Amino acid sequence: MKSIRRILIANRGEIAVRIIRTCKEMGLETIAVYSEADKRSLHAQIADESYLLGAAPAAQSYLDMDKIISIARQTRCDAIHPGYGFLSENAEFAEAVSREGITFVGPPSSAIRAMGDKPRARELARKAGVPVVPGIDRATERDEDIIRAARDLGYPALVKASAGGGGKGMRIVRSEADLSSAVRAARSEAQSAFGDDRVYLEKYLKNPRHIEFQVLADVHGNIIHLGERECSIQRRHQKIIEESPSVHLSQLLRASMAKAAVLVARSCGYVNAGTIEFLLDQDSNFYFLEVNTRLQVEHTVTEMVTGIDMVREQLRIAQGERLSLTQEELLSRGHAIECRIYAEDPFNSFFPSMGKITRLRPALGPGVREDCGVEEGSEITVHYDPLISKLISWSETRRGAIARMKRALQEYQLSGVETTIPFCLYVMDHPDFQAGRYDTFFVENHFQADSLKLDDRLSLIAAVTSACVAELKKKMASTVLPAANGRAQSKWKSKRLDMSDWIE
Amino acid sequence: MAKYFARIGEATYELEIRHGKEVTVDGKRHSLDYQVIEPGVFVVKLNSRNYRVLLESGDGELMNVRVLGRSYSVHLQSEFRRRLELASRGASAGHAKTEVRAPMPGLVVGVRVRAGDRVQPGSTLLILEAMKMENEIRSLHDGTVAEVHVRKGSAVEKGEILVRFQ
Repeated sequence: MKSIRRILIANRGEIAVRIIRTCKEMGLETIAVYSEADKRSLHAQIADESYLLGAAPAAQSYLDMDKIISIARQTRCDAIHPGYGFLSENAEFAEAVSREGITFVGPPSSAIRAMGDKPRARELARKAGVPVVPGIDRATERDEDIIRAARDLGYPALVKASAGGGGKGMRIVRSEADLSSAVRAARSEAQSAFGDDRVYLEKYLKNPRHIEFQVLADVHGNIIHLGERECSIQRRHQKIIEESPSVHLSQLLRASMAKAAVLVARSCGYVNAGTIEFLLDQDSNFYFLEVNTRLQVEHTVTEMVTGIDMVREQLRIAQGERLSLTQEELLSRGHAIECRIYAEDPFNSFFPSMGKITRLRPALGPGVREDCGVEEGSEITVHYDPLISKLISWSETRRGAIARMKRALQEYQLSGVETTIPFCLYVMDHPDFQAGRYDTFFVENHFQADSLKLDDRLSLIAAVTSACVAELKKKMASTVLPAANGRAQSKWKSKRLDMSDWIE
Repeated sequence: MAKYFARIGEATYELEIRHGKEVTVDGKRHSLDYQVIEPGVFVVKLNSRNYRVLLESGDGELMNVRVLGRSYSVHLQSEFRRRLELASRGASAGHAKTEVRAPMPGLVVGVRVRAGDRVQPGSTLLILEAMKMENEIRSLHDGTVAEVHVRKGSAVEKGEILVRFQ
């Protein structure tokens, strides 16, 4: 395998920025690609070179394989990093990249294919001796078969997309009456998200925890794990707060889950960074869920506790190097938490909130990391995932990491769009989260929009501020009004106290 | 001395600012100071405590301010304006909500009701796709559909009327 000198980052937003940073530290030349909507975006600015892909819709830009490969060829790139989402788990893309003699920074296409087909991944895990969530693996075409299968499995059940992930194409079914419509909805969503409408059924576990293990594998057959991430705080089956380590794992359980994770990775000939996801039930039984064959959004918490730069490891592995450490050499220290700051309105069912970011002052300080993909003036559009930024805190203890996160969230200034910051603050303050008593139902069980709305102190501040603004307006008007007196006006002009100075 | 009425959601605050140094809220006095740090950014000192407040918009009487990441819509009226409004409202009774608006911009990928349909709380009215997620827009109450303003394939803006009830 040849060494990498010029690398194209086939992604956008915070993850493109994050990857470019490590590439620069390694002395690589970075090539960004961007859509019409992202012409002024951060990732396109900080890369050494950047090239236009096409129109804003992902299908015409970040999902356009031919265009991306042709730019890589023309700019003489020797590697492509796909980031997460978009083409990262597309086996066809990985193959096409390799065919051009370009290194795909990720697992072999065979592993992507095996793990991307969820029923097949379950089969491989089972054969490797790893427990899987009870379910019906045959991706059936006919709804009648699904109805019959669901009777054997019992309700509630989950309809999931065979090609799925990220909660897309997934529906919870509580009784047979809801099954047909759920299957229809899941198929339609799966078709539009993955171009594949096959679905399968899984038993719906009661209040499970979502725990995943990070693995690294090189081409020489070495596989290590970097410990777990606890990702149970979710909304719409999508993660929003993650931490490492998990408070729910005993040393014994951690060791057996880690062993299972390595077995699953080995079962499909995995190479590069990957994540083995498990569900943990209330009796501490764990079940293999799926493998994410890419860098995860939440890889940051693993980096904070292990000190390992995962993108660097990915690039080293892609160049054919050996893992930079053995399992025994891995040292984890302290506790890390990640809060995803999405442009979503937690007061309105976490619906996306579109608009221009008018102010952005991230919070840093001791033990806080921010992976951000936007700047002031950036536009959050309907075209892409509304993730603005990731805020990560680290401390020696979990309690310290929570306190730091809370401090950073309070300091964070962002206006122009609604964000998940108030939700994250709510979670940091919640006694059950602080005590580690939570599962994937935390949001359903503990969080109503009302739990945020009622804060008399803040609403009083809002009211007082609005009156201050009115006072300022009035003061300005009364001073500017005697316009015949040129002096009064010029005095205000010199101070640039135009109304637009207060309101963006 | 100036008197204001600030409405936030259900709550109304009666405020009186004196010489920019004191504010009375619903009869209770607080010390006050405030500064414009830069466009859109205020530091309000209420009883000597600092609060950083971001002013996002301020069209006339409607202002959007953000404190600790939370956005508050404030409807602020001077005493004069409030009297005017109360007088003009007179006997006209408030009408119940009779329409469903788009909670976000998106694409209508399915319409489940037609004019004349009876709906119940929870009935799916239509499916709105945004960010590749299909979101079911459901009815909050029972009623009869008077008109469906969109069709499959319609792109809608936030706040656009989707369905009107009788």
